[in-house]
Amino acid sequence: MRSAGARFRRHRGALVGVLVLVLVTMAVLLGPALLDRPPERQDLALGPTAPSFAHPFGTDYEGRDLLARVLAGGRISLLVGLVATLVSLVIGVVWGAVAGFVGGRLDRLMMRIVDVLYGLPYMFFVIILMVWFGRSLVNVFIGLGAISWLTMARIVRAEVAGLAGRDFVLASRLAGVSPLGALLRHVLPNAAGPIIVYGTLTVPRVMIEESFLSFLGLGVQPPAASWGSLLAEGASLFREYPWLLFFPALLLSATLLALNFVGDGLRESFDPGEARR
Amino acid sequence: MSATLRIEDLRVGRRGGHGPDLLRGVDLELRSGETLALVGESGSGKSLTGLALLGLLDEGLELRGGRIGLAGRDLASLAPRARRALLGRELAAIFQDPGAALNPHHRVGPALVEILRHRGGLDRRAARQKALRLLADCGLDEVERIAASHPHRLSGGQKQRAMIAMAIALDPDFLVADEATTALDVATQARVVELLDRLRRERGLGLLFISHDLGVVQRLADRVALMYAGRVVESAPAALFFAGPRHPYGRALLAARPTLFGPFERRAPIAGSAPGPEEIGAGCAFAPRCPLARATCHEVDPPARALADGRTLACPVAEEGG
Amino acid sequence: MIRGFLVRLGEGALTLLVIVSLSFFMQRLAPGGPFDHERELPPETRRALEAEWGLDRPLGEQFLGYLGGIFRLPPDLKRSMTRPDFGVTELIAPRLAVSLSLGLVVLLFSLVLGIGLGALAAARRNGFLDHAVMALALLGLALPNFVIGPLLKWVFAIELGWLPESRWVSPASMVLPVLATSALYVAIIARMVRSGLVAALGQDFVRAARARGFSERRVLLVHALPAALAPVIAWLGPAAAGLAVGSVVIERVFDIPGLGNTLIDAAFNRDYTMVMGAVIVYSAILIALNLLADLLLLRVDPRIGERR
Repeated sequence: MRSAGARFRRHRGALVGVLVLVLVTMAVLLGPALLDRPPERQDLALGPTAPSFAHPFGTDYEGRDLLARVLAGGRISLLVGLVATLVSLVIGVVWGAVAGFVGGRLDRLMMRIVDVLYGLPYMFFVIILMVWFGRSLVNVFIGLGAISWLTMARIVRAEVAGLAGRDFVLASRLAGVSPLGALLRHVLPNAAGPIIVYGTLTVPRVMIEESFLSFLGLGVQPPAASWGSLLAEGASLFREYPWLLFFPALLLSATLLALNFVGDGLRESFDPGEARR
Repeated sequence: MSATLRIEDLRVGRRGGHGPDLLRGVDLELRSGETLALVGESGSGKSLTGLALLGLLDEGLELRGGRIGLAGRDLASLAPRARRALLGRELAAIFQDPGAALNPHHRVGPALVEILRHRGGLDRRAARQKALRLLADCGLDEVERIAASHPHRLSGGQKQRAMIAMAIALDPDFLVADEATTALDVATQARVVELLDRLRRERGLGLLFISHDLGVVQRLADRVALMYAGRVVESAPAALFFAGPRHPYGRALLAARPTLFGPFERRAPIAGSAPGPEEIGAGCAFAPRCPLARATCHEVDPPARALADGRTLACPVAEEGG
Repeated sequence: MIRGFLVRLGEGALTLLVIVSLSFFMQRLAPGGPFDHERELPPETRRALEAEWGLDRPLGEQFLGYLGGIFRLPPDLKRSMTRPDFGVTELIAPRLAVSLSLGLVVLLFSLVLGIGLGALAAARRNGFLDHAVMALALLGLALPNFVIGPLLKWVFAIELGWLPESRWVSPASMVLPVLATSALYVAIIARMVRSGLVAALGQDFVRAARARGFSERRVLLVHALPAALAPVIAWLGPAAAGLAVGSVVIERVFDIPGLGNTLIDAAFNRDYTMVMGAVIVYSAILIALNLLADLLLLRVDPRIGERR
């Protein structure tokens, strides 16, 4: 029986994924400080230029340095991915844990609600909410988080329901631990593996959804940019200035792939049987 | 017509040639109309022998050598496609857990009809009729209802009978029954054993009955082959075997058998545990646990020799002593 | 079984009711309204307009009135607030037809191609074809459709000139939007089918099927595939919902007059009745689709019906 860590290290794709994520995160965090040009500095006289030594990723329509913009945009994209995932994590874990731990009719009702919500175009709700209540970053966090918890709730529920009946939980209850205490101290820590795995896989999904909002002009508002809004701009201008699409797409895709690889690797290392599903 | 299935020096190991042999040269002979029981503890290689014979080894394993002679051909050297085509017709199989071995998505009747049409060449009508007849033949009542049911609706015994019906649908000469009664309760087990025995008699089926349950084997087998650590160490007519095996391992195994009426003291357990494939040295694999072992036993793995009473035995010490 | 179906139907109706109520009240609670234009309307004009649309009455009464309209045959979705000469139904119908046809073609295409590729990858597992298909699938997962769409349009419509830039008028004009939308779904289905098949191929019933002498192709397609398809079918409902949203982007990229952008435009304009109409139509279709997927799943895996 190998440990989860050892299995993870044997997973080559996941290791490459971690490497890519570390590189992207460092570039995004440190890059803007190292570059001498702020991402919003325009140079209308310069206009769009192809990648060059002065501007490795080229410049955009307003003469802004694309490298600086891509790095700054990456901050926002990663931030949205992380915060919205965190929001979804909180909702999903609470929902699933309550359903799984309480069981019975409440469990059936709560899970049926999840089933029904699964089939709805919840992104439309986010879109409409952004239209009605304003396009702030906070609304993006909440909106995307609020619609991404369904699978998490299912996974946590299955884990908790399975663990709640196990002997060590019963023993702790007999020893006088309160139900909430048993849930927090004994059940949830044992469900941590699947929660981490699915949390990792939620990040790329949320990032895609953010880029989608940005494409519709409902995400991050200019002059700030995310990879999604840069892509949207690039997609409309790429015939004349292909680099505007290429570089944001490269970074977003690499990050999404890396996250998926890491998530798959984590899943296989936490539960080798699970990976076959 | 009597056909013979002859397995010689069958060797199986991990794919790629690395690691030790898991089957270390298995020899077996089975005639149609006869039941050969393959016994041994789990891990001794008896199921592996069955799968190797069928050509259905897991992807990580491969045949490393040996012959599987059937009707003048060597199955081990046939192309996979040609070999697959023999399954069902000449060589069929049933497996341990009938719940898992029946496809949950297919109803029993259509699954049988599929075999009869695609493998047996019958038309739809004939296949349907034959399917019902086969189910009835395997001792099922209400065959119409059972044919229309999904497997999860059937009891364990019904499932295993349906499995058997599918296995004998194309009238094979030989049937590999891999722990086929292990997952069933005792009463059902007895009836399924009875069914297998009847099919053997009526259809001249050669039955390779793989089991670790000596009680069932005693009721069913004509001949018993005892496996230990990937080899057949003794094979004998069933009556002789149960009267008294010669191989020290067989003697220990039979002595360890709980008997209902015998004195409790006779249940002498075998000291130690069976070696893994990595732990087997040059000598006899049983030598480290063997009360009769001599110095040579640890150096040379003894070949199996045919004895005058119809046994084959891979133990020179027991041979001398007998 | 029939009882289960009726329960589902009831659930569907209840869901619809909840969605309608939620949208109705959220819309009214949100800042802004249909008569906020850049130029402030004179107060009396505004009051007259609000009276005409019944917006001056209590919210609860308005809600009940609206509900009364939709829960009858044929449903009355009222007139559009920004284009009062047209009924909402009348405005939505042609756009719905376009969106629905796009969605169905994409779903069918994705299923056929995804299942085919997934089965191919599973049959050649760990071989070159498997790796190639799975690499392609990863690309489909990692490229948003608003990147794939313009790229396809550029290569095939503009540079090569093989296909029209599309407005959803002829079969040829459908090719690019369908390809761009399907990429993600083909990728997801192929991955699901491959992993489902590989798992099924290790099952006892597959070994039993092999022991009956069926060819490997038949074992894969007839015996292993149903087990691999169950998760795909269970996912069809959510997929359709995602598709509805995803097609908004495709409609923009390829200039297709579909329902998605109607909904978004209506939300921007605070066209209360149009928003409600589009929400109702979308929800009803998706709820029905989920119901259909449930029934289909029951046929593929009969054990599910008894577990519930």
